[in-house]
Amino acid sequence: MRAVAVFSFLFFLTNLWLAPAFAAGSGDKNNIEGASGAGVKQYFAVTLRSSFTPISDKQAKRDFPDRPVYLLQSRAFGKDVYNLRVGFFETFAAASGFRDGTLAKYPSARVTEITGNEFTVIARTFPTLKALMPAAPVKKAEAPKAPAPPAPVVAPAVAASAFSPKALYAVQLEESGKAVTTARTPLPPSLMNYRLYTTQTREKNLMRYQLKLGFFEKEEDVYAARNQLKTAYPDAKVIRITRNEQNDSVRTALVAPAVVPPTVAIAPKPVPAPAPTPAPVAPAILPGVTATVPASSYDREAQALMEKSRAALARGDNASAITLLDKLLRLPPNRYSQDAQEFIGLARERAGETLAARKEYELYLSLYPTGDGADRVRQRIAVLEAKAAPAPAPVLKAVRPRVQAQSSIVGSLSQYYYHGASKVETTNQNPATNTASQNTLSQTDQSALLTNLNFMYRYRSEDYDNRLVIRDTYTKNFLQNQEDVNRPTAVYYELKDRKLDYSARVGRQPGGTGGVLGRFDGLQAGYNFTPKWRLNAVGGVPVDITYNSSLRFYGASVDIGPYAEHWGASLYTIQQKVDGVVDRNAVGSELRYFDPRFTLYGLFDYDTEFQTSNITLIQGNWTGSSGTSAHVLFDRRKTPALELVNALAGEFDTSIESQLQTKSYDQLKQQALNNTATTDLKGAGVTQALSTHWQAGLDVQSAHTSATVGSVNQPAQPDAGNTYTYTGNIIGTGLFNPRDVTVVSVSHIDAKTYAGNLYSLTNRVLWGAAWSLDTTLTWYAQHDTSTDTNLKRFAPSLKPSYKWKDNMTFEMELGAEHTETTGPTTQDKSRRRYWSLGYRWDF
Amino acid sequence: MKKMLIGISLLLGLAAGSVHAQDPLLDDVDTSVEPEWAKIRISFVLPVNYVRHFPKEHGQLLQIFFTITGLDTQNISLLEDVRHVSATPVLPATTITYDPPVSLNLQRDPSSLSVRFDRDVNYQVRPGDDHRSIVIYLPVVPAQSTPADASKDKPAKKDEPAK
Repeated sequence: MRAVAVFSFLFFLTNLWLAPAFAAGSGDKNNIEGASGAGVKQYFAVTLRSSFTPISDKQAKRDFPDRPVYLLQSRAFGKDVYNLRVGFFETFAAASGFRDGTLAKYPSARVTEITGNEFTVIARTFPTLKALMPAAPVKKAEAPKAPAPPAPVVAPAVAASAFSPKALYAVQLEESGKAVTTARTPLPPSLMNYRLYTTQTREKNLMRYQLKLGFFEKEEDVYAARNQLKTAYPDAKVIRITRNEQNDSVRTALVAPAVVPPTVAIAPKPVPAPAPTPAPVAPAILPGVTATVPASSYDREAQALMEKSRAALARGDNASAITLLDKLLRLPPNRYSQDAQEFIGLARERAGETLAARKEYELYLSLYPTGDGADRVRQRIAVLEAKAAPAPAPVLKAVRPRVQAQSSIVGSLSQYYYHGASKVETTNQNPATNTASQNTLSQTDQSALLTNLNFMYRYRSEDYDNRLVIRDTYTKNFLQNQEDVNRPTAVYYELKDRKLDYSARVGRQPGGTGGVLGRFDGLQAGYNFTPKWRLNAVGGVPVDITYNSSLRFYGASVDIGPYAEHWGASLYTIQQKVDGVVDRNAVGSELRYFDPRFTLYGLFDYDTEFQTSNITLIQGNWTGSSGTSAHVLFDRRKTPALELVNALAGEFDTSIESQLQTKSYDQLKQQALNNTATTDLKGAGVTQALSTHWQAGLDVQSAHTSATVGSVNQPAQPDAGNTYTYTGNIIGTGLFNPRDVTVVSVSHIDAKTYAGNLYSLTNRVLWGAAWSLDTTLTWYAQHDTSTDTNLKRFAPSLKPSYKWKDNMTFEMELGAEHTETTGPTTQDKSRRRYWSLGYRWDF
Repeated sequence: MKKMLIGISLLLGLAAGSVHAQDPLLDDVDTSVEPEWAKIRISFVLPVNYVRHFPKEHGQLLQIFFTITGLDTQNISLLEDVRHVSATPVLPATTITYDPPVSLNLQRDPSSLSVRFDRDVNYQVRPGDDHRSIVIYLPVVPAQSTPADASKDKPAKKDEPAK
């Protein structure tokens, strides 16, 4: 015991000592890709996202109007990859800082070191960057010079601090009910480097327009600026703005009137007659459809809603998308309003709400009659009018890519040797004689080699998906009197025909649906005769049967939905026969509600032969937006599942056919009922994120198993009473290593005859690219009031693993379990040590 | 087709020779790619109730907790079970390990899945709509991308860029 404790303590010290070193060598460079040689000028960009399908850069251009946003097509793994990037940064640190600010909206953003070639090509098309371009090599024969493109109108230059994330102060110069298009007076020279821009908000259905000057890092600077402008803008006030507003200000910036110093006379110079000034045009990088919408203080909320709705649309969760977009559209006009109006039409169209979709599209056209979006919306309306099949969204490009015929073999082969040895010391006290006797038993209780095969061959084409799955476990026992065991847990072939919308699976397979209680050998098939109705049939022989009886079943089910986007259901009937008589005759239903935030599942199984319910199950999950989630469970079921074969429990003759020679069928049914208990399980739990590194959870559970009547050969079981379990846990990361997860859990178990406390600590840590280590410590203490017995158990274990190359993993486990049971006259001390060693080859 | 039927018959023959042992809880691990998301669906042989996961949405090591609700007479294995997903252009190599609860009480305490990605990723975790699966959504990010016009440049070096 002491040795184990010392060993564990030393391990943690070692872990603490080693963690930083391994972390440093882990090679985690925070999502950077590409590099260049030393001494070469480096250029960095931030790759916002990548996709195998063409993606739009429109939103990103709206998000980063003052930076070059561009799409780059490349090849990776034999496929076209589209990268959406925003440039450019001279250092990795600058790019990384920028990336951090984009993660909320572009969670897959990463820093990319780009080539000088890429920089040159992009910079050439972005005039404000031309100055940064390296000098082009002089060519001997120059191509004819192309006329210079018209310089786009860019936002006025601003002070270097303007884009600093810390510069979040501005002066609101004026606010009115009319759009502000110019400043009242020229800005003082000391403020010329700051940005003059406009915003708009809505108050009680009235639009309000603001003229602002920004951005200032320090309070004294912003108040000094306000004082300078107090004469022209007596109502000016200092405000704090968001980074989004800072970014968006480029699009609504105004050119401040120039100041003419009154005391300095400048001699006029003859100048050539000015060329006609072209009308200001939006720079190429500005968005096409919403560029004219000024930034508003609602943009952050709108942005979050837009991202969630896009994700919902991508998942096909149209109802959630509609809800989110509706919420967005109820905000005052903002830079996402236009796209949201288009998306909600799309979401309604996908949800089958054709009429509502058309109204949304028409509203879009009335609000935004021109532009690319208007063209798209007109096309959507045309499609609706033609009653054609819904086409994918032009922006989301949710087109299922054509599947090229391909075959693959995946799986793993593993072999692990398990060894366990135990020693039990029993001390019996004799109070009458005040003497003690001691017995010791030592033995090797486990010595086995487990070989696991997990194999899947898959052939996919445009219309078919074929799978051959084999999972098998072979246990070679090296102990005497223990047989070798081969266990094919799954051996089946599955065919899905996408064109005709049917599927079939034959072989050994898991059950669990359509009233099938467990694994079986047989066939199940289904056909979607409408997109929302599927008919299934199943038939086969249950496996894992230890009775000397022959069982077989057949059943049918209907899957319905989804309806109202979230609801689905299944109805089934199944009959199982044993030795020619009914073993189980059930009807049942499954009810499903699925929403990204809330899920609900209900199962009801009723046996018409026994005329009682077999399973009633309700479970649900809820996920909140503030890092809170909750789950509930109610599960009432017969244990074991109600079948006629339950009558065979305890019988020496385990054949229903034989039993029917001496008992009637009804007597066997009653015997089955008498041997079957009812188990109630109720549970609920809540999880709360405490920070990005820590999370807390609390679970409460109640379990109850009823008494059984029993039979002649099967003793009656008493009511087990309620067992309540209260568990609190803390989960964290970064305790020993930036890449570890630690779970600390405390449970109190309160049962009819005993009470116990369980404490556990589990730490899983990744070291570098190849190593990982799992550490588990558990301590359990229990007092049984019925026997006045105390039990204490301590169980530490270590499990290191090493990954060699990409597909070979070596694992080891060392563990011990020390249990001490103390009763009024007896004390047992058992010590078990075990280890395992093996490998897994993933192919 | 004839060869396929013979193969299936042989496989069923293999199955018929089994003896009673413990069932693994993990069933299939299936992946699919959509324009914006890649999905890893982890299916179980019994209904499960998703409880919680950690870290919430980013990391290399993800732990998902769940309870097994359809537990009856099935003899579920208390050994860890592993499924591996090979790296693709849009998915990192992923190893999914089923861990029974430390108390080994499957009915009372949550089991867990340890999902190890071969690099830091962003993700979302949701219970599957069939209540026999848990789904991990990952934004589509290729494991490797090279600018199309960079082919003439020298090979990339893995060093960290200058700070």
